Amino acid sequence: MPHASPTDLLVLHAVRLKGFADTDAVAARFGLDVEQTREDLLDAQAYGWVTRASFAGLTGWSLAEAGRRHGETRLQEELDRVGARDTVTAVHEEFLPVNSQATQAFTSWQLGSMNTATPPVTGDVFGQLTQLAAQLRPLEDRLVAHLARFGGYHRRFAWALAQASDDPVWITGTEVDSCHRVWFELHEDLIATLNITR
Amino acid sequence: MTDRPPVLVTGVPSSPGQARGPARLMRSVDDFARMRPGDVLVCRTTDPAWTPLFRLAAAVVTETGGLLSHAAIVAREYRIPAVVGAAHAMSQLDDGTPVCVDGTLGTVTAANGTP
Repeated sequence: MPHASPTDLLVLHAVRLKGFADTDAVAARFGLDVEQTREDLLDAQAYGWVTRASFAGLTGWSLAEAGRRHGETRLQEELDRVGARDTVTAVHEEFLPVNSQATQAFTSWQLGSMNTATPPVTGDVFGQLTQLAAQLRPLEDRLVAHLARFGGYHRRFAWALAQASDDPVWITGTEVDSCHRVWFELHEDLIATLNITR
Repeated sequence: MTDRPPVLVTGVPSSPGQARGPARLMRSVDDFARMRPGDVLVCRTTDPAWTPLFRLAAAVVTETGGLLSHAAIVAREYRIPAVVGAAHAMSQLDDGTPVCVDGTLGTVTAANGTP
């Protein structure tokens, strides 16, 4: 039975993974109740773990350094309590070479499409991203067997990839839940969970 | 005598174009409130929390990373010049000093004088 993380930890972790997000987006990350999430965010703000800031017309929550350290401590405790450290470490090691393929695919796509206003999605990048999705699935399954909070990456990646055939912004765009955003979020999740640096 | 301004740091050219603005040295999320539109974001590395800063930045300079790094990919997405893997950028550049970032050549030069 996979471990279900406590709500207040999920709220803090959602802020780390999203980087900068409003209350609704923080709640939506793990399907949490919006009002409860708001309460947890205000508590976390009182502790100095999260800050509310405005950038370029957007207002949202981001993790303060103290919140980052607190979150890492909580994730470490959880990882050891569930006995998932070996699995997550192994998955991370297998993730790294796949991550190199992913960032290479995203970069090639961007460099190849920079001079075109509406670049077509080529079969090449589609093929690469489809392969990445296939490699992502078993990695996620192994993580979810221990920690339920790791669920959803493959589904989101596959959804973004499906959208990309109509609108290539779903490949590397920052304003939608694009393939790159989902991928990068998983990398950040592994880094945060293992308390390692990029 | 030369017309060329001194090169302050060099790194991996990661997102093409040139832009100038005051260097804004950012050590952590706790510094974000100091960022103003048109600043040149200078930092060690970036992660998802840093993405909103790219909306404001004229250009990005990071000490770590390469062509495939988060900063490089996001900078290209925002179409702003980026120089990454610029070792010692945080110590070589002074906060608030005008700089010119060339994301095609991978250089950061002094931008004193005419804009």
